[in-house]
Amino acid sequence: MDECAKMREELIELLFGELDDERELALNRHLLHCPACREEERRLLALREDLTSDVAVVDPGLRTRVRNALPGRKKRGILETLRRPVPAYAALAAAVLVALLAWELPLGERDRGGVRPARVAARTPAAFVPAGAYTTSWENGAAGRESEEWPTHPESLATDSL
Amino acid sequence: MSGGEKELAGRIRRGDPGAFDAFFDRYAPRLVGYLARMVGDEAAAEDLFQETMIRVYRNIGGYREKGAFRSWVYRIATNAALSEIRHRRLAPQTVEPAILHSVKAEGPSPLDEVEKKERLERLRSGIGALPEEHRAVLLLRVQGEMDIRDIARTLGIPEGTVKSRMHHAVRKLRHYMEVPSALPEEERRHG
Repeated sequence: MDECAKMREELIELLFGELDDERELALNRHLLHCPACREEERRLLALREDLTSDVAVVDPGLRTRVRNALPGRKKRGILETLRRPVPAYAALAAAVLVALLAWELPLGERDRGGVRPARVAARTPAAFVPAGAYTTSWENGAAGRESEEWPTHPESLATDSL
Repeated sequence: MSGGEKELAGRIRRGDPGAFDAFFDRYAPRLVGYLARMVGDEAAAEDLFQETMIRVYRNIGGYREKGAFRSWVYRIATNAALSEIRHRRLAPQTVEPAILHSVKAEGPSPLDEVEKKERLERLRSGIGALPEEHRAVLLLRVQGEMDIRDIARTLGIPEGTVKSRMHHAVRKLRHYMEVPSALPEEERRHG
């Protein structure tokens, strides 16, 4: 390899890689007396400038799209939903509803001369009730499911590799 | 690893809500540009960026602080890009001029602008025609602003290989910019 060919490789190293001080000094000495290599340096510098100046303009909506796609934004589990604070208006509405039911049911039955369903149930023989008829969703385990909040067990996740 | 990067990795690991914006602001512009050049498609680049962020968040527990966080992030992004390229089996295409906007120099004349635009289009075409492994090295250097050691760590290859790929990519591009008709191998193959 002649000296110019060698120095042009060094130029690439200098502009796109790393060149140690000693080799850089030798390159600069060569450039001082070689117009052809100086021209090559100029073209490589222009190439590097084009490469580095061409940056992307990020779509303004990308941030929101990515945020919504992150694993931490998955659906809440039942327990977590139940633990959430109830708004005051909802609590008030529920209290009013319960009070109305408590007031209306006995009155209505008294007017009709009927019997309250709770007393009927209390008099029903236990053997008449099919086994498992009163099992709840809690016993079925539905309430035991946890939310899929990130991170669950980050240590168990594999790191990407090429 | 710089203190800022180490801190950012820690914030993501702890689930700090502000970490998302910090990560996005720091990485999005260059990483989206890197991915756009890798796959030659803006829409795909944004999807790949999203995929990269999801993988970062999901796998942060497996990240060890002895390595540079940025290398780790770019490694995930590079994997995603290479996977996309292999999956689609498409030739990397020239990125639409409207997608990647070059930073304007101060006070360029209209003629300068036209020339620069043409040059950048040719450059993107040349980058897209490079072999994937050479393209990744070059883009990590100029878009990711990584040194040889970080690129080697990111791609999991020896530093000597990084240097030889860098030389190959620069020589090819340099030649292509001078003689546009001299299409690099990949471009010729994919028409």
